[in-house]
Amino acid sequence: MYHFPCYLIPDTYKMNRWNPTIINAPSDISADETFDLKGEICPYTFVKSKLMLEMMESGQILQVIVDNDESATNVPKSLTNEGNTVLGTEKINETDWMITVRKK
Amino acid sequence: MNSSVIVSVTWLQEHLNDPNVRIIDARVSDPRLPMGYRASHLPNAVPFDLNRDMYEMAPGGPRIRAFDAIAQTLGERGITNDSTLVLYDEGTGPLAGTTYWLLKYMGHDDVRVLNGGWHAWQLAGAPTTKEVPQFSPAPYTARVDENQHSTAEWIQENSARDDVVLLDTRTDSEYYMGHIPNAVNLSFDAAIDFQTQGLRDAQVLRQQFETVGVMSDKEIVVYCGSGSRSAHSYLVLKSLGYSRVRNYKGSMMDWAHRRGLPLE
Repeated sequence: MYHFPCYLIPDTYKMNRWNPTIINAPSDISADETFDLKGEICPYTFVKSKLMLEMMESGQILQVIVDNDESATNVPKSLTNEGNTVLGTEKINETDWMITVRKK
Repeated sequence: MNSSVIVSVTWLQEHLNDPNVRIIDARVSDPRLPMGYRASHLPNAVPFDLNRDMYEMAPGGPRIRAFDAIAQTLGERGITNDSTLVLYDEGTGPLAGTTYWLLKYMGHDDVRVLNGGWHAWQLAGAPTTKEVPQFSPAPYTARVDENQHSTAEWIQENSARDDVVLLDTRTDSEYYMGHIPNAVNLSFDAAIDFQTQGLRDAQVLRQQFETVGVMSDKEIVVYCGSGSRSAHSYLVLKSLGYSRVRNYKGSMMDWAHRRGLPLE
């Protein structure tokens, strides 16, 4: 067992929970759908992104906007686990993140 | 499986017109998606969207709204403290679990969950509607029961007790990245039968818990990342008759960001 203050929580832990992995989406990407999920929290951000993707065709691109780090960390991971391709996770202003995903 | 916690489609069909029963739709609902409460729901069901009805955004992340405000929301939908509440999710999932825990935390006596949720209801060909029921607003009072809830402080003060078991309901990979000392691990979804989307057989569930040391004579504290998956396990344990169960709502989101708390 290790005792440590919060600032010594292992990077692996922090990275995998609340620190979104920044990926810059290719500049020539054009989204088929944009889904504004600001004000929403996990698990809604993931569940609604997934439901929106289910309405789209394979290969189409969805851009999701979220406003908290937890969602910006977990949504790309969960969408990837479902077999989709995350093309970008970008911070677009002080609070908001844009996640760009291609449907499997 | 019918009990004071989990009810079947047949049970609910027989009680659809019982004036004391209030049905709560806890599914994801969004006007931009052709699904959820607006698209169709059980007859006489009222919506309860955790995202808006339970939480509010605050600096540092979402938090539970004031209990009086939640109580007012419930009362506006015709729910009284004496109502028999029946919740449903898409399946028997975390949204039903979280709503169940919230209502028990607010001291509601009779709360039940439809096993298999919307999925099972539709499979049975049971009736659905788009009609929004009109119930007269009723008084509802929150009678908060802190015995259903745990905090980091409660865990620090009590986790050394022989009769306390900490149960981490995240996936094993999350658990091995770091967990509260002495916690055992059983992922919340081990309880779900993915064919029926309902809970597994009670005997199987009990064995799963007992295998990791979660015994019914202990006081169980469940936690996960932010208290929703663990609320599902809270529901499952309650359905099995475990009498002392607390959900650590803050979970790892709270524990891991506090100064000086140990991780294992």
